Amino acid sequence: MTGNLQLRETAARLDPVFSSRRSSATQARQFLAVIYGLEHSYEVASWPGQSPQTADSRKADPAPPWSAGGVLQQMALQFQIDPRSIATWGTLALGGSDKQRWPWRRHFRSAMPAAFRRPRAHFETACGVIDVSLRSTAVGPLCSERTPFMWFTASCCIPQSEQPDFFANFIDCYPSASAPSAYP
Amino acid sequence: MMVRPVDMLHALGRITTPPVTELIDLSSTWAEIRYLWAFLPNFDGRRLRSLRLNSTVKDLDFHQKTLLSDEFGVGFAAYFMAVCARATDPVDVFVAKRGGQLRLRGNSRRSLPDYIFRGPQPGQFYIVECKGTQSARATAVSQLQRGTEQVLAVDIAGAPGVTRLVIAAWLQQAVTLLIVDPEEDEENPVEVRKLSRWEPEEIGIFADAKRLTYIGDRAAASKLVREHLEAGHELSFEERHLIPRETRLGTYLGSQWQAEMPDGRLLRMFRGLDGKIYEQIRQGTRPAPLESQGEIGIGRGEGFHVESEGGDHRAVVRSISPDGSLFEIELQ
Repeated sequence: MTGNLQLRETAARLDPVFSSRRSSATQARQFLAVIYGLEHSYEVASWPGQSPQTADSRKADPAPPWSAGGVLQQMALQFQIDPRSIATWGTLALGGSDKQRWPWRRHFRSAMPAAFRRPRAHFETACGVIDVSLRSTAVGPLCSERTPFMWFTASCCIPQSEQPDFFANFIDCYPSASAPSAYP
Repeated sequence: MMVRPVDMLHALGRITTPPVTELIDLSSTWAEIRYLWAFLPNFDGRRLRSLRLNSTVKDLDFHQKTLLSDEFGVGFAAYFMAVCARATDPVDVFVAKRGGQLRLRGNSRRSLPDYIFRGPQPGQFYIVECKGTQSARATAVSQLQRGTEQVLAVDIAGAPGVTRLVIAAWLQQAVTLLIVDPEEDEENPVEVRKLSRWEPEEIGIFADAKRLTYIGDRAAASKLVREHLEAGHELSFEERHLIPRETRLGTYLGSQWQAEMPDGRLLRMFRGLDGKIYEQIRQGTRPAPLESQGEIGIGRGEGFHVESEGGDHRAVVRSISPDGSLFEIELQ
């Protein structure tokens, strides 16, 4: 039981509708119930994680931000996407080192502002050419042709559950691509 | 991330309080009262639930809904920064405009991010843009995109560590925070026109002024920032007698406001500041957060401390922040 029991009992005594335990809009209009609800803990999802990386910690530890658990693998997937050579995704995603990953990321980040104003068709990176001229419709649940930059930022942290859709859509847009041999 | 609505409202009230109250700024006070009703209460205390907005939020007028989304974006970002980043001293970036640093014209004010925070390490700062929407997730993502441009428009003189964050609260169904940290490439810096430049000392002064205004000591707040404001912006305030409030964490000084609610009950709000911190600010010394004084333990998994009381037809919920402010709601 969370919350203050005494407060809950007071609320139940003063406000009969409160004690019915049915949470409805009507009940929420009862101010006492509202007060009771304020002190409870609720869960708020945060994406991609809870701990922002600071400028200092970036220098000290060049791991991707929010790199806990599966997120690290998701980020690795993003950094290795090469439309011309999709087959490398799986290998690099699972085995890529920070050295391979980071120059890629830095290059992309520095190109971001230009992408806002004048979407560029390609980014040349250490890992190949990345096509961001998304002329087709959405290339993933978080993307649109108007936001090429977000396509990348979003894809660096695609929730595990959405990855199959993301890759399916991506491959639709790049028919020459084949499915990654393996991804987490 | 775990959130108690009272703590989020507390964070919202604190951060939206201007450093010095002008008549127009009264409109930005007391956001914590305006949205007391906006959460769906969990009537089953045995189960953990996702934080959701009350279904009546959907029935709001479009403009009111937009305002709620904006303010909740700010409130959740303020909460996130206090608890997860352990940041303190939020300051409104646009206030620099009044300091005459740079005259912003037309839409350029819209290009500024929202707040600067001080990080837990010496010389560490955060520049934060807050967003909020009840529309589709794609809208929240677009807001993030816009935010990444805004956070580049502010500089902090001589600060060795500045982290820029865009925090968007997506308020459809369960509340979700979307956070991005656009990285600056030091080797190939992107040229972005800086619209506002802050000195670290100014940040401390304006943050303290916000704290004093929050508890109703407008005269002291005004005195603190007078020399940093443009001539013509000063208002004279009467000295205010602050009321003490005893809590398990000590004595807080502040002021209260009350109103009759639509259901006939009396709602009272108290906004206070730890007595020791208040004295430190008045004496011109920088206060340390309660956390570092060992009075609140973020290590225990909560950045805020909550107390509540019930009985005798009265309910009280009290939220105390890691940096020593108190927000108390009482219903009779």
